[in-house]
Amino acid sequence: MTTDSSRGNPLRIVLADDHAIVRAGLRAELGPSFDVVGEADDAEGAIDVVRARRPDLVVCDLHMPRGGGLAVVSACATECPIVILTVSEAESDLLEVVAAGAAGYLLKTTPLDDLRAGLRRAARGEPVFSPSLAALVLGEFRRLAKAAGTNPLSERERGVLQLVARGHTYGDIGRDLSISPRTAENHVRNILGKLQLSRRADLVRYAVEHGLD
Amino acid sequence: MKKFASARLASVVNRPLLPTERSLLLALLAARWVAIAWLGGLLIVGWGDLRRPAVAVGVASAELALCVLATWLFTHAPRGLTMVPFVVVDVVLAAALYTADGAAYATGHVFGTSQNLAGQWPLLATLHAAVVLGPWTAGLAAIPIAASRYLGAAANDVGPMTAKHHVSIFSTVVFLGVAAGVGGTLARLLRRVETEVATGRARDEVARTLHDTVLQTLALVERRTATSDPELAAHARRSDRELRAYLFGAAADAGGSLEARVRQAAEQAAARFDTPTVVNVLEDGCRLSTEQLAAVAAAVGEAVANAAEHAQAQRIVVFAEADRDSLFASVRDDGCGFDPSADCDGHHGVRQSIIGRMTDAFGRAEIDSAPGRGTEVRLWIP
Repeated sequence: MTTDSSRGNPLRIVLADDHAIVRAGLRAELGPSFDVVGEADDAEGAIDVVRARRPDLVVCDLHMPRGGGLAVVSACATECPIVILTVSEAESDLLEVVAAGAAGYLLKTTPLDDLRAGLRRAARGEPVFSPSLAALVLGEFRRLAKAAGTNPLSERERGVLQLVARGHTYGDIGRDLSISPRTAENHVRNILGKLQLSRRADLVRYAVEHGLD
Repeated sequence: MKKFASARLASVVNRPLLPTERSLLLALLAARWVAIAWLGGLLIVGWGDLRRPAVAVGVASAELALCVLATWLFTHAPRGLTMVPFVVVDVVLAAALYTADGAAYATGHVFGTSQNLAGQWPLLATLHAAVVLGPWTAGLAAIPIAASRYLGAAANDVGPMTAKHHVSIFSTVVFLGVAAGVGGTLARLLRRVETEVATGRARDEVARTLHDTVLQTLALVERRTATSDPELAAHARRSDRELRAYLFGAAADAGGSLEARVRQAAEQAAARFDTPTVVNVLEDGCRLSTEQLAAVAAAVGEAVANAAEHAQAQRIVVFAEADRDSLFASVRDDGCGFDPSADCDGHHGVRQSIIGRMTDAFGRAEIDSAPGRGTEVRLWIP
């Protein structure tokens, strides 16, 4: 994946949020290293803009008319990374949207520097994992383990995920487990992949059980 | 006593019908029509036994009229079915059937045969009263009905009442009393559950609306004023936290749950210094005792307060994972850290307190820190 930001070119992003004031605010605050090539105020509009402009990254609100962030992620996650912006981490849909392929989520109250760093990481293909998201995913795998009898995650993966949930950085994790930070990141990426896989398997199983095609 | 009873009555009667009540009254209405059919059948089949047919036809017509009235009320003015006058007429008429029974049939009918003009009417009237007026008030219906049974016996020229007769009538009283009690209590329970569900749903509605608009705005204010007006930003952050706690706190309202306790302890401790704190708790049927849960929550609170006050932390992350009989919790801050080997008083006090709390709860604590690298407090039970 080309990382335009490393070459000094601004990152091409699409902003999708049904509140114009939020979009305007982000556009102003993100600064010159981000180039807003398109905007949308509902899910269908967002999908159209993404397909037309082919941005490096999509920043999308969780709640929008015509399907919300989930619709956008389901349609476009394979085409480009999508970061979900949300007002609250208590949302029940966050796990859903991450399992559907979102690169991660960020709170709308995230400090600007962290926000920019997170968006750049997502554009590079790295999952944006906050402690709360890690805890959500950890909880989901606990639930899956209980239902299936075995945990789809390996011991090492569980350990890494728990450390992220406890607020450790990849650097910290590397130190604690005597692995490189890159390896820790890869573990997190694999975990996300397993989550998305299991969610897809669930959907397939559901479709088969109910005779859908 | 009278005032109390009438106040309770008023609270039950003067309100719109809940769906549960409608269903119950509809069921009773259907039962009434079946009873009418049965009454008609009884009269036709036993016509020859009637000493005073006019009486029998008279009360049967009255019941028929009541049925028609009840049906009309149900479809056009359901609240009429909850009014005291209707219930009184219903009960009195059902009771009157016993007297009519004695008067209409030849001597020897009452206590002699098993068929009775009253049939299921007393039960239906009592159940209706129980659903509408509550178990105790409906229980009173047994009195006129029992009285009417005595009248019926007299009208039938039964002669001196023996012990067996009294027992028979008393068993009617008991039966109706029990029916009133059970029916009334069940109806009350259903009403209460339904109201709670409705309230919960209403709250969710409000939460959804508020969430989308107000929380958005607060987030915007917080970010826009972070550098230009930090006091306003802090104010917005506090409001955000409080609103969030109200909207999503209903779920964590389980009172004594691990999540509720830890969250409350962390938020109270962090609120004093306004440090952004993240709390994540994974619970899965945690069966630890209240004392242990309280100890963990208190230790977490101390750790958070310490991080917020002394470590100049930018962010505090609280994590807890619990199974049935074991628990792990951690409080991590990105503050300035300290040297654990250097035994300065302030740190020592907090460390001892946290470790002490955990050992008392049959657990243990570890405090891990290094200058410039933040601090992590780890707690385990056992």
